[in-house]
Amino acid sequence: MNKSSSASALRRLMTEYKQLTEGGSPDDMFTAGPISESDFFTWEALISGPKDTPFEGGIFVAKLTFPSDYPLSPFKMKFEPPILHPNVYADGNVCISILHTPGDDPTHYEAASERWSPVQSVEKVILSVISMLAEPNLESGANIDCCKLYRDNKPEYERRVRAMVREQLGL
Amino acid sequence: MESNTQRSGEPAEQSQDTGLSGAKDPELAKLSRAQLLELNQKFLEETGLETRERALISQRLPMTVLRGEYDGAPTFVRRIDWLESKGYKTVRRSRGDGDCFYRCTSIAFAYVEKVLNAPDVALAVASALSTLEATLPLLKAAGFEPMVYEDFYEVFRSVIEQIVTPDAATGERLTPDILLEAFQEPQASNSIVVYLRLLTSAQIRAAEDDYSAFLFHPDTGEPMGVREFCESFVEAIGREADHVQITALARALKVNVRIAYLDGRGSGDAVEFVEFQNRIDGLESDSSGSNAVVLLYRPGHYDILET
Repeated sequence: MNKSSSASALRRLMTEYKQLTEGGSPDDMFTAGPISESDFFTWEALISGPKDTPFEGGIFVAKLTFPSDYPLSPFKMKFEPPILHPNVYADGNVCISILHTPGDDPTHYEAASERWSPVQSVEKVILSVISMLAEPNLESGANIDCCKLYRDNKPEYERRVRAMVREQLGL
Repeated sequence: MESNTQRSGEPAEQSQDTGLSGAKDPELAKLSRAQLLELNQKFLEETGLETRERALISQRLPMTVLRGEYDGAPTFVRRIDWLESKGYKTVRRSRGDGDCFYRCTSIAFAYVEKVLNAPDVALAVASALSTLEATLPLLKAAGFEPMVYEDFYEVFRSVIEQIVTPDAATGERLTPDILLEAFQEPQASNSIVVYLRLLTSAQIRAAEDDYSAFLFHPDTGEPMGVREFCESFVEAIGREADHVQITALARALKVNVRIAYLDGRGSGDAVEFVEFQNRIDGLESDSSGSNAVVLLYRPGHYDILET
């Protein structure tokens, strides 16, 4: 049955990829697709830093890793290189409620926050991550130092994020 | 878990999801709601329901197994005996993972089994398939993309179809053993659970007026909007079903559901049943004269009762 499970995951991933390449993302905020045609279970996403945030001007690279039972289980998302953000672990892994099932609750998300279900998709998750870049969720922080900095000294947080953006762009 | 300082007789804050507030039985009334939940929790832990090791759906087990789990709780034992005296001789346990309602009820397991055992199998299968096919437009109308539900639908449809049409790969028709095997296999089982969750959600969204007055947050008791409720408590995997979801799914699948509430409500040795009645064709009646799918509810968990 594992074989059929990855077959159905593959079918779903190909459909999502097709829709993304045909429709594009709203306002060209991101692109996403398999890194190699030979492996549909590992994708790369390029995300533009949202306007009017310290991330503006940056392009952030994230790796998406899909399980063989996708979309029953969610995928994982990791910024490579890692970015400075309250909801991103130091190793780059993204911590957001939409990538967790209700039973799997590492950071005690609010009960009402959006969870993973097969109704979600790569596009919906990345759009959530983009809005998370603009508005961090301090209730379920992943990078505690960064949460603290954001809360206590927001100008310094913004300065460091801008410095990171410049550094990643090689300026 | 609630604090155990709550005394019996106090109105339980969330009576709709446990039904414990109305306990009139003297023996049960001595227990607080928290103690009852604790008793159930202890049982679930002891029997390994809380672990991932339990089969998603078990073989038929005699009622004595259930009885043995309530050693020291004579009211529960008497009620289990009462169920047995009414012809319910066996129980199939499902894993306590929040998906148990969808897994065992309606069509998922008990329903497919009903179809499999129907006096006129061909009619029952045709009827089940036509009902199932009619659910597709409902999902579309609710705004789900075909990509989201088509594969899950296909898993479910092919299980029912296999009752009369041999599987292309194995050449076998569905037998009770193959059915059990299919439902113990996480991929197939979970695909069907997802389809039923989406269907339940679509049914609630389509008949918003029928349901909107009954949508409350299960933890806070606050009223909720249809979309928010469906996304958080219907579509999301692992979220238990309550009355609203059961009503909606029973309607969408045109299936009758009877639920025996072994949760401390009511008085005496009789177990209270709640009926979710809909029209259904071609299925056999059990000894109680009903063609319903019968479930056993204990706080936080559903199993299947069989005659």
